[in-house]
Amino acid sequence: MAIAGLLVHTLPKDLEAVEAEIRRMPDMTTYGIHQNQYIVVVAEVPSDRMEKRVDAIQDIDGVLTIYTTYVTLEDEVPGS
Amino acid sequence: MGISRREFLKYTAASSAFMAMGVPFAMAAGKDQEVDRWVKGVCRFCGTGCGVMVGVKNKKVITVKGDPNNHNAGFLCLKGALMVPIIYAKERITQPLIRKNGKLTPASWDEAMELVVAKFKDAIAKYGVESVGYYGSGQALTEETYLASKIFKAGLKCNNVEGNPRLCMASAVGGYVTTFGKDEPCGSYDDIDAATCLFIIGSNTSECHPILFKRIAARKQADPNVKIIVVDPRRTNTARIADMHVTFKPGTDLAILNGMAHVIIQEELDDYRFHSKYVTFMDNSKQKRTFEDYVKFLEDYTPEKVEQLSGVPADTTRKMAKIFAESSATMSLWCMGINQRIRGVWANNLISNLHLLTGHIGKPGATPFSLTGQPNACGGVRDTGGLCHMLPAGRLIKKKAHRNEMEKLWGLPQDSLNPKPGLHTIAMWSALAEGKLKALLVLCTNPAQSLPNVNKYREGMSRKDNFIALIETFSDAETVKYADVVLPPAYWCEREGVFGCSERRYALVGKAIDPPGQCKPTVNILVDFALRMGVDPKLVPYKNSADVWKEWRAVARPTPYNFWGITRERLRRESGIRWPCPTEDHPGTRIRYVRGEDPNIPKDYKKKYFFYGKPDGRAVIWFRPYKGAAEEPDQAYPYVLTTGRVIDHWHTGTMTMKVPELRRSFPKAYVEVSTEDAKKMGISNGDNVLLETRRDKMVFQARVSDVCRPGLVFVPWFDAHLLINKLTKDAVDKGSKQPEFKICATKVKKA
Repeated sequence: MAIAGLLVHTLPKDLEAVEAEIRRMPDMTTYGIHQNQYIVVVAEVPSDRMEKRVDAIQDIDGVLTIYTTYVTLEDEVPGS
Repeated sequence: MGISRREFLKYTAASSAFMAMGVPFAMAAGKDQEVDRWVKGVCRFCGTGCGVMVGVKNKKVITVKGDPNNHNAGFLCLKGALMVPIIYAKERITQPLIRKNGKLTPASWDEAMELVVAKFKDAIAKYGVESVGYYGSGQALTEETYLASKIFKAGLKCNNVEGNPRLCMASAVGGYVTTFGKDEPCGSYDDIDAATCLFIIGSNTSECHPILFKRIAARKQADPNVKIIVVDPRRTNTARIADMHVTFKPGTDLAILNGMAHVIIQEELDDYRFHSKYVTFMDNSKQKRTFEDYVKFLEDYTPEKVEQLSGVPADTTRKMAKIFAESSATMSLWCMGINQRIRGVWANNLISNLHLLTGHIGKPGATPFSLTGQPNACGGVRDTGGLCHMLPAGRLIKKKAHRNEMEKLWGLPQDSLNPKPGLHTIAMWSALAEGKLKALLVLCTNPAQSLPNVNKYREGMSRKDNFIALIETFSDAETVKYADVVLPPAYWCEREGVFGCSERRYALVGKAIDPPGQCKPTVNILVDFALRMGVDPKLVPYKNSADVWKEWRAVARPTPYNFWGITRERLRRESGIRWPCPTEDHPGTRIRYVRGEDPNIPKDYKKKYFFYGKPDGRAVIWFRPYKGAAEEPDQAYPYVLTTGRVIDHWHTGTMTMKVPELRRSFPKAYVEVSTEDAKKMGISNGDNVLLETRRDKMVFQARVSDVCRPGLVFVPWFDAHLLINKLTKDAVDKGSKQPEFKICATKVKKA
């Protein structure tokens, strides 16, 4: 299971709708809307589904792009 | 109150996002117990040069996060954040390998190095120093490239020193040097935050430099009056935030840029005071001309004439030119779409022309700025002189004074450096294919995938009468198939050294962990090679990369590159510093060529601007005529093929294809076809499509969309199994010698 910190860069007019849609995703936790353009999200996703889940956010209308600020794959690094 | 480890990790993830925005975030509980230590570094991928923090636990890297103190302010793109699995990839080469009976077999360092040296010595004895060479990389550390270049040029008197930056930014170098007299950008990333017009041409910033795209998008959202113009034959994700997306017939950008200059002058939007004081007008034969001559030259580029050539409506050219000129501060950004062309240098000149004509230069937000593809093409290869015609810090081999200066600095007898420039990249690989080059040392690059028209050069690599020694991390890199010896280097954060990114920022990649098996830092491999080759030990007195850095600082000190103030200790403390930086208390330079900003200009200099790279202190507006591509579409090959990157892969995919998340995102290359062309040919999404150029043919699955304009198809080049460079053309810019990857003619049909 990977945990990732994401900043979802969104067009201002769509911010609330995008945030609501992400909130409905069971593997995502939102941490509010900031600076009238970002939604802070933490993803808890099995690593083999990470890209699909990020793509699902990317596909929401109004999402410009997603920035990853943190990923931990601690469980997957041998010997850690 | 305690929290679970999982909750703690979630808070850490959230706090990194808040930190990236500069917002304080109070942790509910817990402390930074996740890792044993954080080591500061720089991302391994693109030329943006994002700062990273590498998290180490039990002597293993377990995580990577953005460095909040570097220019990226804590942000990373997905591939930057997912670098960990690459370090531990099963394909890591951990001991030297020698090819025996066609198979690479394990060997000792001594055995492998002795073989390499025997082959190099044999080639030099039989055919002279011009029969050997070095081919490096914009991914090698600065110290590694400086050292390799010194070993070959000063130690062996061999100027066959090249590197893959010839394939990605040589035209930008040529553009800066011919316009300003010195390489590297005048401005910095800070300009993005102050620009009121961002003119993006030949760059899919969103996918190729995502963190800069973030900064651009943030700028636009912070001030809706900021205008963004994207000029690209593809409607990429970058164009989504643009006020104007201008598509055009590929290869006609020189006409468009001249057309904009024409409009700017006709509308009297040029800054006459600026260009009359700080600019020289020059034609293609390097004759000085007048402003009036320039106006006459531009008569061939009225918007209507440009429309006929490029397909850009005349009114669009007018509108674009007016936005560019009327903005209070315009920043141009470009990348491979401009550089990878047979007139890439000219295209670079024409962008700078617009800035010099309008005075949009040397002020916050106003600058021409080329983006770079690799993490250390600028700092490592351009600055240290790791190309066949260069010496360190902007000096040139052909100039006697420059050679003599370097001889003095390197402790060599006067006039002992070889005065003849070596073979540029395409000439070097051609010489190998023709049997003229006998022994080559290749460092940290994958030419068997990255060269254009690559079948020709792969055949050359297969010859039995040459010898290729490869310093390479991964066994599945295409070039390993052709190596006679493979030497395993320490990778990325397994050794310490400097990367220099697009904005002249030098930053340290710290050593976080020990390398596996018998892997060694490349600096030590190179010193060993030099000593075994009989190079004077006084030329290579280095124990580690810090020793090399110390010398490199001294070598650059007498030049306008002067970064004497960027000491190793300072690099360890700070998250990157931009040169020039002459003293340890100097903060680094945001803007060059401007009094008060650039430490190379005396504080009492009588004018505000000083383009000191040119003898008269004036930058050059060049008369560069329209010139199309080397291979235009015709009846037999009616489409244009262009290549590039996708967001989740980098270069030849050798690293990013090892990250499961990234590999699954883009498992293989595809061909992007316009909706209109697909309809005409009966192609649907997922259909097999045959592309055939004059070099080779190959089948790809189709992605039908409105990204490409009709007549254009696009294929990403990361996939070693669908090697698009078998189809591309190896025609080069006559000035920069950079190949025209971006345009060739192709047939397209449903397979």
